[in-house]
Amino acid sequence: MLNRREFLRNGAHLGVGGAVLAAAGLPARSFAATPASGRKFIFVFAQGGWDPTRVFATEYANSAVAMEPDGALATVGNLSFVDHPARPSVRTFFEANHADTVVFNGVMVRSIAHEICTMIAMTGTTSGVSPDWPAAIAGADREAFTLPHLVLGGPSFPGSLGVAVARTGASGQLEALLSRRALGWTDTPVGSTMKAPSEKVVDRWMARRAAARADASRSALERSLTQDYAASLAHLEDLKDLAWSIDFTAGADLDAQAQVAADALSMGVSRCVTLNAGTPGAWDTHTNNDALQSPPWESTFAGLGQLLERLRQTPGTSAATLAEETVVVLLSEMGRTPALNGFAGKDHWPFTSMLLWGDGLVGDRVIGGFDPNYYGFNIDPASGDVSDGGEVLSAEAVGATLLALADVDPAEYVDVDPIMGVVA
Amino acid sequence: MILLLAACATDPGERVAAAPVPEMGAVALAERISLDVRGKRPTEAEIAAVEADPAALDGLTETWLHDPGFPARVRDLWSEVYLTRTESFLIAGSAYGLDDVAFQRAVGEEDLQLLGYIADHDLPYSTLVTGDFTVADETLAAVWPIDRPEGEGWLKAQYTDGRPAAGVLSTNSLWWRYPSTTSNANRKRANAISRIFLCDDYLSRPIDFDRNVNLLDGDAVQDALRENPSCQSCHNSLDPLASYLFGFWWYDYTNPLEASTYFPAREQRYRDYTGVAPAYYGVPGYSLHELGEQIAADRRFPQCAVQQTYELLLRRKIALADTTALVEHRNDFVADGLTVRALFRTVLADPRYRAGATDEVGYVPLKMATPDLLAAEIEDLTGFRWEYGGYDLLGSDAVGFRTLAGGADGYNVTSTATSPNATLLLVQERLAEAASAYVVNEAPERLFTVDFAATPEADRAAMAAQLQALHLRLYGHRVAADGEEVAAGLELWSSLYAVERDGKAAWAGVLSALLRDPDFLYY
Repeated sequence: MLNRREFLRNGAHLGVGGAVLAAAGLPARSFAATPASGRKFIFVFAQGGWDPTRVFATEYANSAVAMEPDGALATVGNLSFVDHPARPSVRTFFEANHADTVVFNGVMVRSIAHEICTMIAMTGTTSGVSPDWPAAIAGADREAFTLPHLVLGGPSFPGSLGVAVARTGASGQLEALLSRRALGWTDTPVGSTMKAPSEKVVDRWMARRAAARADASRSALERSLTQDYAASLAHLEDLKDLAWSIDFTAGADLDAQAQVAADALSMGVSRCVTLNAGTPGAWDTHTNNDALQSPPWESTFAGLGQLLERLRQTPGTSAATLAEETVVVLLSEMGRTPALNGFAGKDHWPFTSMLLWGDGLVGDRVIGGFDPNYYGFNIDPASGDVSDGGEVLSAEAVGATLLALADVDPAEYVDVDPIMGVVA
Repeated sequence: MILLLAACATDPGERVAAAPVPEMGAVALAERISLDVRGKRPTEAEIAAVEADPAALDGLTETWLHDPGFPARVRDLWSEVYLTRTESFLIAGSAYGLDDVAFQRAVGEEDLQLLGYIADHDLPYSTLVTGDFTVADETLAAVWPIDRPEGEGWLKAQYTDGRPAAGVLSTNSLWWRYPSTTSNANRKRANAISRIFLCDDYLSRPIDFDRNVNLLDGDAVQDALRENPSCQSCHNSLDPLASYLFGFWWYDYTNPLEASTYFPAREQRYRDYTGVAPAYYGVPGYSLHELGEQIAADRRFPQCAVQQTYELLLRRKIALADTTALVEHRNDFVADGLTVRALFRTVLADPRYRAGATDEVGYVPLKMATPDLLAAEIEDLTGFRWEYGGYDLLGSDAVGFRTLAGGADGYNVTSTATSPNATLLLVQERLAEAASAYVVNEAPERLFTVDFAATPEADRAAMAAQLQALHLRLYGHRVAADGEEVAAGLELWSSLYAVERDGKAAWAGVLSALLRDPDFLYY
């Protein structure tokens, strides 16, 4: 069994992130082999509030819902979706991936304010202190990862698990810090800085100092903080080593983010990665909804398809490929009103859709749905079936399901049942 | 919130301290207070004064509360409440022909600057919502309808478009940060008011949709908001609050002229959107100024100020066990003139804030510096501020490291980290490295008396003295010349010298290590 450092070294030699396995002719998929505790997660967040009627909400029979001209109901396997000539990547995605995909329709996010809905979609609460799903998952095993939850874009609510969450910056900041290039980012000349070898000298000294400081702690809080410091310092040392094998500069492009995500997961750097889908705000179509929603949906599904392909071609840490040990979550903070407003736009709506793909799921399935008022149906959490007497299909319930998939006790974070009907 | 807490049963997870918790040492407490109040560490003379007489800390605290750094600390602390430093407003500086960096920063700063002004001038805290002025820098004065005297920086100024006197409630910045949509009808803004000034976030309440209400039917929705109990619990008070804000109703948020202007003629547009007349929790009102007066008269307003100060200085959320303390602080706040300094005075005296080593729940013997505090204290020590292209790199995410360093950007990250992670320590490392290089190369007199050509072999005493001085200045620790800290520092110096072959560079490395130390990050 390789330890993590050895694995990272070998991974770097293997050119992780390339098409090694695909070239070797390994199978594209073989799910359900990964224990939940080893499962990885990629969250793809569409900031601004998407209109589910462009893909997931096939509400052609509901006259109250403004569907799009030229769109049509399509079905692949058990999944129905909106097929539109401007969005060929949607059909391509479902045709290739429906067997491992679960769509949640009518997910309640309880609000129509972006920030609050984002918090609810990602944490199930509005407290501002609860860690989001990826932080909770990554935080459960944070000692094992250098950057347990890597945030390349989109929202992040670390709560009390800030030690487990790391952002890379929108314009190459992490890369600049690691490469020491950031030392040149100053309007005030600082003169010559330490030589690179001196950094190693200081780092070693710091590691000893951090350990000693932790040992000298006199209270539980002090011990916790100083131990966090020592652990983070160790993670930082790992991160510096990784700078030779991962370029953390992803930018806004989904495929570029996907490459970094795949590298980070494959090399055991992270357990969760959050990506951003589309330009933030592009989804917030209070005017001209039909024209403006279509491009981000197309680019997101194109990017999603590329992401899955990348996962299939990238080695996993406990399975042959990342595809066999990773769950991808595609979500937005809210939906949009069923009818067009006076500006041909759609405003905010407290029911939305989400998509899960990957390891550990009972795929090819739609959970929930929309009633005639375009509200979400209640469901039976045990089976996932629509049930009048069941529970609200809430963002919390989806989050609880993700926690269950990760072998994290949902009761630690939410008081709703996970939807075990979708868990294999 | 306080009364609500008082009405609740005791949380079994909390317990009141059975015995008095020991206070942290006088010098450690001085370090904490000085950092929290003015963003810099005590000088050697101040440390000596406290060592000689711990009671001297009271006088020093009062002096520090009047330090020029105090309003800056107020702004930095409350930035986590206002969440206005977002760098992503809907209108770019280019719309006004301005540099966008300065513009975005200025917009995000107006409300915090006004709060800082009120704090610095010991104005009643109620001025925050009743004041007939704002503060503006050259950028805002150039683009918004503001009459500002000549001069540099943030100065007291007046809007000239007839907007009511209501302190921050009458600033463009707040409503640029919290815009509204047609269907939202200012409710988001009303909730921002409730959250920021009353510590009551409507959106933290449980929300349940009554499936008998058809949200697709506008009339049915309006009826439900008026009559449905599950809707009424929030909308009965939220909607009337929102109706005060229609003078800031902008049809085009991206129009620089429109979104800069208050429109008295639109004040009654609530009739078109909600049909609900302005009122403050059942008390009718008419103007934004009246809203400010109503907030100022609400007992929750000072309670909320106390709660925020308590949470920001202890760097933790309040708990049920804090109820008594919060009531006492509120009483002190009122008795001491309702100034921001009064708020600080009372919380700084709280035993939970001053706690030494203890495991008692709620006591905070150690806490982590925020990115803005880290930047401020390093600037004070070394003279180095990490800025690039006009960006304050620890206060920016566009090109800087704010969220990587644990800061909040106001949108994607809404609270500051309270424990470190790898990227935070990386930012701290590079900041320490740059600041150390700056001080040894450009301003050695700030921290160094040693001859950079000295070596341990030739002049150990001088080098030990230098390390002792650094420990005192950076941490408030007096270490022995023959103690392990000095020995470790000399060992590090020698190791670095072996690489650098240059005494100055070796000292820069030693200083960078000391600035990365847990004892520097935590206080």
